[in-house]
Amino acid sequence: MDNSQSDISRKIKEFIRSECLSERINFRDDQSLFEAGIIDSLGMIKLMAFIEDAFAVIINPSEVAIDNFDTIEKISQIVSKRLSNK
Amino acid sequence: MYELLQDLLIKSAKQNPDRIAVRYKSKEISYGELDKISNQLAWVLIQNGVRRGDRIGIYLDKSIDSIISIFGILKAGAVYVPLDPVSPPIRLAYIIKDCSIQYLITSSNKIPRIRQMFLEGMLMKCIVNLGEMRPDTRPPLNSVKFISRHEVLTAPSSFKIKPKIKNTDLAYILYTSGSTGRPKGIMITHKSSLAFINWAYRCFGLTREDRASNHAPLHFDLSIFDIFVTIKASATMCMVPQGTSAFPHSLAEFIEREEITVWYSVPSTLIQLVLYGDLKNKDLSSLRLVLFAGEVFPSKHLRKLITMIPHAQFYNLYGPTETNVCTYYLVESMPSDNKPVPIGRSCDNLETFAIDEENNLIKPGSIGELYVSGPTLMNGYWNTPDKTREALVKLPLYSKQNKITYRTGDLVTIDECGNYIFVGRQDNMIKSRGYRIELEEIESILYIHPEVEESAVVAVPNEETGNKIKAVIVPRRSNSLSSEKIKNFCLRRLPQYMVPEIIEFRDWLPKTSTGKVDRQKLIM
Repeated sequence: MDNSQSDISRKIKEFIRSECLSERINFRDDQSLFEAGIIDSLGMIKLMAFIEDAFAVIINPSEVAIDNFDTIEKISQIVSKRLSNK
Repeated sequence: MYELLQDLLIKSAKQNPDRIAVRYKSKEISYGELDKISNQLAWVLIQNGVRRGDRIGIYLDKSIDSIISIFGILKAGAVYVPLDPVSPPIRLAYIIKDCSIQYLITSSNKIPRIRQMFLEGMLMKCIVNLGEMRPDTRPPLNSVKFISRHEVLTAPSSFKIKPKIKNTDLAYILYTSGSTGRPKGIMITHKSSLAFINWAYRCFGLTREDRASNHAPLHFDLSIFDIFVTIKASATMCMVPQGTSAFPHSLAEFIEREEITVWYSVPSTLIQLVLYGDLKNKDLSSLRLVLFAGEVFPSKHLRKLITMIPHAQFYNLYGPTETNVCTYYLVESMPSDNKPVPIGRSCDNLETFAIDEENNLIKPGSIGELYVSGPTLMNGYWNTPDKTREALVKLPLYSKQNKITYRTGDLVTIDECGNYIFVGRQDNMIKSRGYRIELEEIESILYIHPEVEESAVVAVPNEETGNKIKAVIVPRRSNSLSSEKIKNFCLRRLPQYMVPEIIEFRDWLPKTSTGKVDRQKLIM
């Protein structure tokens, strides 16, 4: 399985498009998902569960804060760091 | 005396113009500014044809602008209708058509969704864009009047706006899940909202030194306390930034950093704080009052929260949106077993009673449906007189003066001290993360899908979220449906919190001897 950072962001984006968004809205990797009105906290909880499943990493709720987990870019950085430390 | 909701702001602004009314992230607004800008917005709305009783939609992410909008709309004599910013455009377009909203207050990031709402047949006279104007945020339709933030901020502010409205006029409409498959609008007047606000202000003794949280979204009735009780007290409302609830750590930091003194939210948020908020390493000494409502707080988590914040007072508040808060309970000691804490006794401004199937008042040990009467009751459901007649009934036997009474549909029992204890529901309404959900609404959406032969939606109890929603589907042709397809279908029509988390396909649904779907068998 290829898990480069761009691959990770692509998968996360795909998940958001199919599971959180009811319509096609364009958003950038460096855009805050909350500020852009893309997802709310419930959507984020679903996204965290997806990341744990899809990349076999554990997102401990006490280790992530909103400021380092609110854009596709930041999320995929964290995931890719976790994967390389495995 | 305060006659209308906006009088709370006008009075606080006169007495404390420089105190901070609302904070959101690093932004804040003083009472004087909030009063002034909401005047300007009211002026713009009136100039553009808004009249007494018009419904005006607020389609904004949580922000200081959404509070400006609420007061601007009220000062124009109109009725505010908060729209869930992440709900699908199809559902929002339905709400907008249902209560014929012709004016919408929004921001630039919502324009693409507004375009889709026009495709759903929404009509609109005027859109006020309080956000920054960008080239891609031109008016969605040429026939719609577009008003910019700049126009609002340059409008006159120091004039006396006196729309001829009475306190029996509507102040807001809050839409909630409806069992017929469509959301229903709960109509609240200035008078009934103020009856609740005045009670809560007295009961919890807010002062201008308080810093109250606003965690709930504005379409959720918990926000009424946050906004109006805080503003009545000339205190400061600190809005929890959107999304923070998914990060218990950040939420705990928010309480610490903002020095919150009064917290109000659904229990599931507080459970996340207990489990993952690392509260031992946070300074929560500012908290003096923790209020929760909307669902049952499992005792083991509540007990732990109380030991972590021992200096605060904890209150369980109860009340459907239709009645505002109607009972309350100060948690002084936890039940020794794992029973939930009571929802308590009536607020002193209204009357509650519970009657069993034989129309007798319940005694300790027996179970009955809870009824509420008093000044905080809703005016009814928008545009659905038959639903209103079912909910608001006259019960001469137990209500003192043949008063109008609201049937809550909630089953309760009573303890030896006269405190009510929530037992369950009479119908298929459930709570998930504090959101009120009619399972039939989800079922009726599933039945729209051409490949669904039969479906039943049930709630699977879950300790952290209250309930998980599970849909059991009998497909028409067995191999073409997938749970992704069903989820996506729901997502386009229902808010995220109503989309089933578990989807199961079966060849048939189990039935009871009377031919009804056996829901109990589906939960397992």
